[in-house]
Amino acid sequence: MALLLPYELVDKCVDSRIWVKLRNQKEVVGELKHFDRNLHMILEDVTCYEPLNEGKLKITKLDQILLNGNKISVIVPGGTGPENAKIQTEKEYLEQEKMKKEKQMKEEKEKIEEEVNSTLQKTNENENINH
Amino acid sequence: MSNFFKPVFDLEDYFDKKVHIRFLEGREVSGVLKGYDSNSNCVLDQAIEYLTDANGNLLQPPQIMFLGLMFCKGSSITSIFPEEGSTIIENK
Repeated sequence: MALLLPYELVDKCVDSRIWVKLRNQKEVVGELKHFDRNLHMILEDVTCYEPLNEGKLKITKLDQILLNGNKISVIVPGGTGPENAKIQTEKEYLEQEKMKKEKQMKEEKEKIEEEVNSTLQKTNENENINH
Repeated sequence: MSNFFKPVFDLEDYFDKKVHIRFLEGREVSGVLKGYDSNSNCVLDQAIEYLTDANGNLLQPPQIMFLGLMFCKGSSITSIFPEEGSTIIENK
């Protein structure tokens, strides 16, 4: 099981859209051009999202920016941004996870049954040949 | 002197496990730990974020935003703990 090094992930994102979340509630979506060890980044075609009180969102669009890496919290490859992101309540999410697990368990059971059946068949054939 | 170059903790124990990460300004995120380095930068897979309001308090009832593959900067991380073995208890 190979480790995916963090800076390798950022390196793969160069020339594609990324979504950066800063230490305050601000978020920045743009095309990553360059980055360095401190995660200072050059982004192009940028939209900045800043949530204000009462649930509003302030949006600014900029051509090219140098984003300071000191206040970065999270980087998500792929520029979905907070507007297009999929939001659920925790209940729905937990239910989804349950369904997935149940599916997996079913599939594993079926696999095991198949294997058992095929080995049974083989042993039956061998017995018939011997007789 | 020989302890100087050893890391304080090793994220190897959490590799490929579902992990919950808390950040400095109240952000909370959880996902499967797929990579890390000595600065504690992390790569999480199938990650979700627990949303906060404009002041940084977690929303009640909890809202979840699905993020997928993500990178967490080590300098912003407050704590990392594994999801298995942790439960939510009521405030009393």
